[in-house]
Amino acid sequence: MNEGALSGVLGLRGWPAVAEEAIIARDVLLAEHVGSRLHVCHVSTAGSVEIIRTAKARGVDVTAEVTPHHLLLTEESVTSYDPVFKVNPPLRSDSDVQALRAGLADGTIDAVATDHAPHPVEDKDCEWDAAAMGMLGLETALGVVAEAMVETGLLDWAGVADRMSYRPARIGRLEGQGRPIAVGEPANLVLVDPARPSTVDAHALQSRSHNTPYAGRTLPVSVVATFLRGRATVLDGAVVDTASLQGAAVGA
Amino acid sequence: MSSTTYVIRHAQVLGGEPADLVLRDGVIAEVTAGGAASADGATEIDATGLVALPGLVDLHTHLREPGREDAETVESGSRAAAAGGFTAVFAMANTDPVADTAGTVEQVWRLGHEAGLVDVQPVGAVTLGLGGQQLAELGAMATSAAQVRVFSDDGKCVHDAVIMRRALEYVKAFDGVVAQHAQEPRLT
Repeated sequence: MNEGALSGVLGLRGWPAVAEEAIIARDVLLAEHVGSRLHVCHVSTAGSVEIIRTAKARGVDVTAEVTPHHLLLTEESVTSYDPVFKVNPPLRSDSDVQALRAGLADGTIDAVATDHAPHPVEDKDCEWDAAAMGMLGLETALGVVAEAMVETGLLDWAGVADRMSYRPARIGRLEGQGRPIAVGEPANLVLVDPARPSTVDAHALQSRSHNTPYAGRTLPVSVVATFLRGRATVLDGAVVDTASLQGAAVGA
Repeated sequence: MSSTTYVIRHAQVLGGEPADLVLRDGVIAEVTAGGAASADGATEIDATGLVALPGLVDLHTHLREPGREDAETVESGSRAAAAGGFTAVFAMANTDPVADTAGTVEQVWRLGHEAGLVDVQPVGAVTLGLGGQQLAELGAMATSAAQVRVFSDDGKCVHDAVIMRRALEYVKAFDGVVAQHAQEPRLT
């Protein structure tokens, strides 16, 4: 867990902020030196945000992502000793969360990325030290971002589209994704109900695993429909049967 | 491809004023004022009060296949992604075997294509077996059918400064990027 006063109280091994920040500082300098492109995964500390902000101001070609859980949860969750909150990098302090939100809002952090990490129950329902690191994220990401960024007024929906679609597609050089909603563009869309909260049921998820840290928590929005190149993959909140999709693909 | 044409009525595009969207032949065929789109033979979706966003793209997903299909598969992870509003996910390389060859990234890419729910774009490992000692064949993964552009040892840090430098130099040739899991192993 995060190295600090709380890790001492709980008697758990600490993972200090400097272990992340030292590598990011080195790597932005390396990227600058060779003129290449660096992306920083799951930024988790206020210090990391500051290093990336400074590097961007110097013109370094660096991008960064933050996970939904680092935007919402803090190390206080670990006081339960529940390994569902064991993740790498660890949940940090509230001041880190606020710095990550501010960094995502001002564009220093380019993207939200889930670090969706499924684990079978035997690797999570055990003592803290023996448990695997990581938590589910795909099915709750938009709801968490809505709570942490939209309801707080830090991002509007256009900002969400930028950080969760346009920029990540561009970072990954993925053509045909992350395009504007405009005539002639690929019909990749999601319809969101901003006024229909949804309560997370760990055993009703599509994932084969259940290790969500949000079980029982109500998130402020619901995904109603998803379209991949004009085909509905989700309608009325339910995944469209894949067998029929495969049949359609074979017939194409 | 599906031949279904959809007319999505009164959607708030990026939270803006209500508009109608016509989806035909895989593309957005029309964007008009709410209620104005023509709808002959189309399936209508009432999106009053709903926000329309571009399909979400996740740069960082662990789909666990090959190797840990008890935790997730490309197919189950694709279902989870679609349910979350995603139309594309980048699948991390720390599978078993590690996605450090053209063959493995092509396998993941093909499984994603067969599942057909989201675009599954494989991430290639930076080093052989995520071992941190020897660069993987980044160029072969880049020119494979999967056209890998993002390389990461995620789960482990590329901690050796020389290896990291060489990886950054290598990916320039095909406009790739090194996605670093920043964790100095001696400090944790």
